[in-house]
Amino acid sequence: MRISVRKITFYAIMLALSLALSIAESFIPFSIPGLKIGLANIITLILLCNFGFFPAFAVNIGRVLLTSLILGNFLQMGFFMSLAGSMLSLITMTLAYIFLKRLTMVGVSLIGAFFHIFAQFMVALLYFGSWSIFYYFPLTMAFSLASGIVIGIIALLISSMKSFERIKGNSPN
Amino acid sequence: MKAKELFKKHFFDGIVLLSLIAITIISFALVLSFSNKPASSLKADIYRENTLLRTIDLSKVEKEESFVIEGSKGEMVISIKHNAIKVEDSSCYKKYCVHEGWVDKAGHPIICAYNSIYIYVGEASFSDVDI
Repeated sequence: MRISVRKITFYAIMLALSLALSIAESFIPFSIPGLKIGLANIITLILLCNFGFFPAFAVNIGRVLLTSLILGNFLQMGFFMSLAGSMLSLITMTLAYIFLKRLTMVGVSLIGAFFHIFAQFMVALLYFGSWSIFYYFPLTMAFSLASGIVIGIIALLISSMKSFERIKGNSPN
Repeated sequence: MKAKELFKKHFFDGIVLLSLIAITIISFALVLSFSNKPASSLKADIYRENTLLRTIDLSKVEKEESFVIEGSKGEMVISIKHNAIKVEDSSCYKKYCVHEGWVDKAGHPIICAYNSIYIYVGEASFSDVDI
């Protein structure tokens, strides 16, 4: 299998960007455990809707692994929550993008946001074995929907930029 | 005209958003019906991962006291008083658990993901408490 230098460079830049966004937002304090804006999802969404599933998958899994190594929670609860959330949201966003053609990136992002939180709560449920963790679900979900809209709009705006069209046109896919 | 186009373009996004808001409202109603009940006798179960470290009958605590528990990565200081519990300090760096403050309602859990500590606060039955 041959991978062009342009392809490797482009995905590496995307991975670096999503990693930077991920690390940066880990410093934003919230009073609810696990609450995050999910800025790195902008990159996932742009890759998924413009370049397909596999680049989005590769960058996503690379981001989760590297972020956990940098933040020091590799193979711990936070890592598994992050992994499950990002994988389930990517799969559901891919299915929504393929089968629900009338949705724009905002709708796809909302579906991703919902399943991200859902998967994280399921991992926490497995970890602690108590349904009472769902106490945090409505607030987290409300926050997640708001951030899902913002992320969808940002991804939509970036994807419709003329300069991005040029990158897309030059991209190896 | 532009607003009409925008509405048309994002109509199905709006349907997705409304459905998810409905799910959020239903879950909020469910949480309200199952938790936040002020109970006359509360207990706290402290778990590290799935192991029960300690069960405390908070209704029998008369004066405020503190103790240390060992989390998976460091120590946590827990304070208890009559029908209430809080995390006084924790070795985690974000201190979500500490910011929860005093918890005095059944069904409100305290979670420290960093230390894998989970404190379940519920109504005490007669047989399941140590203190």
